[in-house]
Amino acid sequence: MSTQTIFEDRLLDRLRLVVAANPAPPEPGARPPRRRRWATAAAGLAAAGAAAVLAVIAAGGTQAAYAIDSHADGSVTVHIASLSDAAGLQAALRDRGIPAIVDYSATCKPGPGPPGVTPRDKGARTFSEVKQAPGSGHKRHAMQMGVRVEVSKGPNGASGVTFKIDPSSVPAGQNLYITTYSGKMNALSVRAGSKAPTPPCPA
Amino acid sequence: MDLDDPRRIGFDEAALERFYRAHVELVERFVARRVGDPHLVADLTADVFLAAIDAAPSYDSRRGPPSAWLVGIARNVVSSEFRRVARERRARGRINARELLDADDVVRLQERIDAEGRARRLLDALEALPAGEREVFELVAVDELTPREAASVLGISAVAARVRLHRARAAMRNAIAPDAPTVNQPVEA
Repeated sequence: MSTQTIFEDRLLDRLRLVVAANPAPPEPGARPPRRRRWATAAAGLAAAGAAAVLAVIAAGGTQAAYAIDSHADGSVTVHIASLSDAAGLQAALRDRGIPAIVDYSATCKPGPGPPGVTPRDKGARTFSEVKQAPGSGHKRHAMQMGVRVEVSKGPNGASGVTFKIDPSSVPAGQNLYITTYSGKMNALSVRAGSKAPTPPCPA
Repeated sequence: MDLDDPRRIGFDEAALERFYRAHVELVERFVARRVGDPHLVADLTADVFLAAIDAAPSYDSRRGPPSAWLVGIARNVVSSEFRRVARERRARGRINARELLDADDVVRLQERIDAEGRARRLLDALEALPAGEREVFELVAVDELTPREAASVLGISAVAARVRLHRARAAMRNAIAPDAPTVNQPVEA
């Protein structure tokens, strides 16, 4: 960005990020006009706030496999509703400058420890440990291989996993791996690394 | 498809940019007439456009031009109740616009605030008017909308807007007359 930009240009850049996260509706303008007064309607919609951005993506016919919301500070919130479109999520994150590799295929290696004990990669935690209960308002921070990830419930208590990533916390030259060793949502893992993780199988 | 249709700004970056560039000064001036702090002007300007992006599907061209729609949103954003909502939204990490300001921007916005100072004082005097009359007068006299545009912003008939405007003007004349110099002639010593 040029140092000659003024506030209005910088604000436009931020607004574009917000809009870029919104998909085009199937039929623009197909929604019936509201009968409420504009002023009132605007207040209600705006009051719905940031949560609406995520909710809109999941709405509209088929259930979206994922939703992404870009924030002003460069971080993104990712909601994974189903493990069905790894390629789409990977491309969408890469569009936002996050070197993501998304692989939902179940791959794991047997742990070397004694039976019943699952050895862990250093610092790695799966989301099953962060207990994703829809509607619980539960929010935890997990530090995973140096990547700051914040886990929260989905929009409107939707099922699935929602987490926030700060792309700048992904070390240069590394990828952000979003994987699951069991093919199930509760084994989803987010970590940065230079090669694909092969998490240990559950005991 | 009409690129200038405000309903597109929620998902179409090109439409957003055209809409933003056409209206950002309108919004900044509207806000600068009502708040005296450059940082708050920046935040509220961002909030107005974020609210417009959220509300874009509700835009209906039969009710008036995009600028009137946006002014309606700006009125809500600047109202005190809405500021609280906007603060909460900023706390949730959308756009913290004041962080985008550099020193030159602050000076420029302060100049804009100063330039709108007279209008801001007029708005202060308007506080005494009944709410319905004040809203119409504010939009027409301060924001320079036509009575018809003001009517569409407020969701009232054009006739009702004109009646309220007439009453408000009469009340304002009475209110500011005591302080106003009656003649421009030198006072006899």
